[in-house]
Amino acid sequence: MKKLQQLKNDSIRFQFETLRNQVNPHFLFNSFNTLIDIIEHDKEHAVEYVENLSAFFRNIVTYKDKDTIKLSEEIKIVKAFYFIQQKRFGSNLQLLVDEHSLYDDRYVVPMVLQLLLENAIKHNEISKEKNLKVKVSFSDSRIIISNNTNPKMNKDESTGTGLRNIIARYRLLTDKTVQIESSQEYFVVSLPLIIRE
Amino acid sequence: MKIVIFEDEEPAARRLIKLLNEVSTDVEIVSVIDSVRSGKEFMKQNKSFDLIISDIRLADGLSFEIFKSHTVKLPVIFSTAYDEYAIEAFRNNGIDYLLKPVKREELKTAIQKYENWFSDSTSGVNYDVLLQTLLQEKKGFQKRIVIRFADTIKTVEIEEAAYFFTENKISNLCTFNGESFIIDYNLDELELILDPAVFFRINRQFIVNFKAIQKMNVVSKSRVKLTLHPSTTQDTIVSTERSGVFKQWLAGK
Repeated sequence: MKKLQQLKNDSIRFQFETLRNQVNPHFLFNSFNTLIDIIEHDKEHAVEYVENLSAFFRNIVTYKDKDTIKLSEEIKIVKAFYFIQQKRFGSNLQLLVDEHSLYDDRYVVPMVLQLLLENAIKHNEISKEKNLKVKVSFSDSRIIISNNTNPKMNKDESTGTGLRNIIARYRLLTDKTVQIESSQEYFVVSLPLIIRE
Repeated sequence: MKIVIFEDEEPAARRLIKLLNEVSTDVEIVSVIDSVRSGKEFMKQNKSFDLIISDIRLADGLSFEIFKSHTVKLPVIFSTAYDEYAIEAFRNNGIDYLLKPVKREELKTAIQKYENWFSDSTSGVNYDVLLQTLLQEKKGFQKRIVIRFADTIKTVEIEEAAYFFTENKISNLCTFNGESFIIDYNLDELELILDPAVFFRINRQFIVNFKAIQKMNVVSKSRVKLTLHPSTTQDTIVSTERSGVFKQWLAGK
């Protein structure tokens, strides 16, 4: 009984955390700043940028109360987010999604890939000298998100709540665990895929 | 006017350069640098330039790191997407503080400020005087802390804060009434927005209000243990490296 209450609390905290990140003023104002540059220098992408930005905010509203989301939908979300970030960081930021084995009955926690990409961006240097490469790949029962690490000097905002919340969300859904592997060079998160008929 | 730009996002740098050329006819961009590491390297080369325009969050850390490790004698215009580092900026030769997206008029004013104060190449600038002036221009230290939980927002007056502490990587605020709140700031950020005459960072876990100190005991040669009101579960010992500064702070120096 107590455990159930705990899980509920974790879930609420996750929602709170996600929402707080999404109203993150840094993200918003940096996006506006990028948009102004795109309007002036990269006109043909301006509409696409706003579409992605708006899709991103729409997703937050749509999925905030849902437990799971189709993997293919989640891939779309992370790609929209990547598009927005890629305009900021150019080729210094790369996302590779291995899509050849997308099963339609596989589900994940909503916004989870987006959150992991956002975490990678937040904690690592992204510069000409040190690119950030994030890779998403799949096995039959798992999804693996990995990135190379070049930690920033200031560890601000690093409260670890993002990851803790993801683990808590998965605990509500499945007995299979979220696995995290952190080495000097790589950071790897492996999430169980939820199968729904 | 030779300008060096510290900015890690290409679109932001491009926009800044465009605006600079719009507000002044005499702009030469010496270099655009995207990380603290390459910034430090660049400063070592002793190239000649007049003004730095710097984003605060660079790819690998805060740009203040560059200015800390070099005795920079040049004026800096800081820019950031979100207003949280104003005080620190002015402590680092900042002559102005721009919020992104930067507006043309604001950049123009900042450049004019630079021209008025620095272009007559009078030897040396008194940065202390400058800092004081700018601090007066800005509103000084933060007055309230905003606390958010789910969909409720409340505020706590800074003077109500007895101490701030971190526990399991989460920052908390404890008021004199004994109420405790989770807050969004980490202690490093709080140090920048709190009045240093009232609040002191005693160690990695605690920032205390002078008025919250009830008792002080010397526990070893250079360590002082504090008893705070409201009481704490964690030990509140002034770290060895902070104890010297702590005594100065107690004396109000």
